[in-house]
Amino acid sequence: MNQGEVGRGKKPECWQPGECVPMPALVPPAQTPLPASSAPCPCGFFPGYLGSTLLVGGVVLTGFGVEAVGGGGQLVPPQWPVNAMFLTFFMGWIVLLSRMSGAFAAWLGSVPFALASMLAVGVLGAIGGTVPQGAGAAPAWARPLGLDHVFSGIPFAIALLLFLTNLGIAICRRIRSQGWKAWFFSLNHLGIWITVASALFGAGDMIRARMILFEGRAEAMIVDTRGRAGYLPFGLFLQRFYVEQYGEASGRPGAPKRFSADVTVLTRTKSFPNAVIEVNRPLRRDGWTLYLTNYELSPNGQTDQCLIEAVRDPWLPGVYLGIFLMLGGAVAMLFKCPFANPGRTAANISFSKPYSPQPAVRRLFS
Amino acid sequence: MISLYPAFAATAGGLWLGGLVLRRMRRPHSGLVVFILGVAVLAAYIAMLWAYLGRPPMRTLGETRLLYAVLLPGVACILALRWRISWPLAYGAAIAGLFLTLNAARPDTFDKTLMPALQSPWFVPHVVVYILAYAFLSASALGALRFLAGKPDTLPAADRAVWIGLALLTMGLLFGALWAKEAWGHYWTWDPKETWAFLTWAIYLAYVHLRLRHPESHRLAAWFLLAAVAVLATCWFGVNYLPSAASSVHAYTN
Repeated sequence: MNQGEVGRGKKPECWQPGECVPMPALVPPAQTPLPASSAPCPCGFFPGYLGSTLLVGGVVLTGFGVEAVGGGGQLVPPQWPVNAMFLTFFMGWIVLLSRMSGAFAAWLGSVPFALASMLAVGVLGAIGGTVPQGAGAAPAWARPLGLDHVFSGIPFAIALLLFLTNLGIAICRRIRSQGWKAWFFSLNHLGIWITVASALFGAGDMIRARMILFEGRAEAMIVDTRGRAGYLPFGLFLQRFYVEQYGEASGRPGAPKRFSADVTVLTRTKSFPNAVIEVNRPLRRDGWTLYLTNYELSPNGQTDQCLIEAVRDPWLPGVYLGIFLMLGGAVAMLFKCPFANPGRTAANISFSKPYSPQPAVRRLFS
Repeated sequence: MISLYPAFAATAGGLWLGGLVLRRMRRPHSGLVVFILGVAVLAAYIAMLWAYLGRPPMRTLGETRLLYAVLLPGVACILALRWRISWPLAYGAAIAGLFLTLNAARPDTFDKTLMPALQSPWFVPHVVVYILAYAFLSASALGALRFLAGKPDTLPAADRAVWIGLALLTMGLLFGALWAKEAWGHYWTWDPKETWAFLTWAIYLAYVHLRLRHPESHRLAAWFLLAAVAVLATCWFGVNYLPSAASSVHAYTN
């Protein structure tokens, strides 16, 4: 059996990331089987890629329609416990779909659908990465469709939900069919799923708020990103704030070297003095993390006051779990490669009838 | 230290050229040794620069170009030693030479300051893993170009380079997220640089799935790799020229 047959003989759905799928020989087009992209989906109605792209594109465009009708308003993410209910329902729907035997469910969990949903996320991401984001920065034409807040808009949320549906079905099926052998697949894929799902469904529970501390004063009031005021469950007394700057020898005198805030944490009954908050060294307490933000030193350049960002994100452990699974998967990737050893494969490649090389590119190399 | 740069760069370039010439003259082993010596000379310069500045020389775009100019030929050496693939040596040296020349033409100010947000144990692993990933992924783009120019032996090597590059890219992205949580309060803020880093990661992820799903579509794969490296270049350099760059915390200019 030559290596080319191994690669081409497999059913399209059955590539195994853990296995070595050797590079097939470059064969003349006449011997090449019909590419799977043009093969119809088993349900006979949706061809794999076209159908996936149409469905994902259609649903995302509908999302833009909703944005336009709503005047490009912000999507308010659901909070606890509604988001947890949605997540439970969503996971149940994925498990149900993964157990269904029909062609529709198979198509939802297929690679073409994965690529279509990634394309949707990618196109929206490219828009959000090019058009300045935020009400103040975005041009006026971007507002009606919500292009000034792509990443908190309805189309992006829809694209992520479709992506998670597809990925979830693929994970359930792989684990059910392979059991522990699916560990490598699971590290990477489950890692992505858990990270994205925790971030998406947990978005409503995250609070990012700011507080200003003055030297010699105590403060517990915070103002969140939507301008609403609230209180921390403890107070902070700023003992001393200082800025260390680089000197003449650095080549850029006056550039900040170190910001540091010495604070006393005040609870109802006790005080904990000499806690330090620095950039890259936040203070953690009672589910809150307090950061010294370095790019906005203080509202008016004074050094007897400093700006603190207070963050509460109860879904963070989920995100971290996913991140560490993905990191494990990335390390495993260095040792497990589904692509054949190029040294061996290169000798096996038939060059009897090469692809017509692109003339422009060929000129570059001649 | 800064004034020594042209001498070190020229020595490295000369050694690379010498190594390639030796390999042409059917002295592959001594040629590779001379080539590796060129990488070592440049690596020594970076180490000395690090000691002189008292901070990792990885802060500005020019400094990442310098790191890349060591790591790309370094990756080519690994490919030559591990898989006996020698074509990336010449391409790697050519691109590294271009980057070294670019740095000589537009010298950095090389000040010794490091803003507080960059003073973190994540800084060095994040940047090194990223630039190493870029080296592997641009090697894959060169492989795709060679393939389209009619040399089919390079695509399997490109696939392997993508696989390793994607693993490193994943690590770099996640190190960045963990660091951002410590420094800025959130692991992901869709800053333009982050967004383009995500898009770069996603397009190589898509490539791997496309390639394994359709192992017979070589030409599509080669073109896909060229599109992917364009997204990578946008992430590395291009972001600074996009309308969205004004609000980025990642605009590493002087």
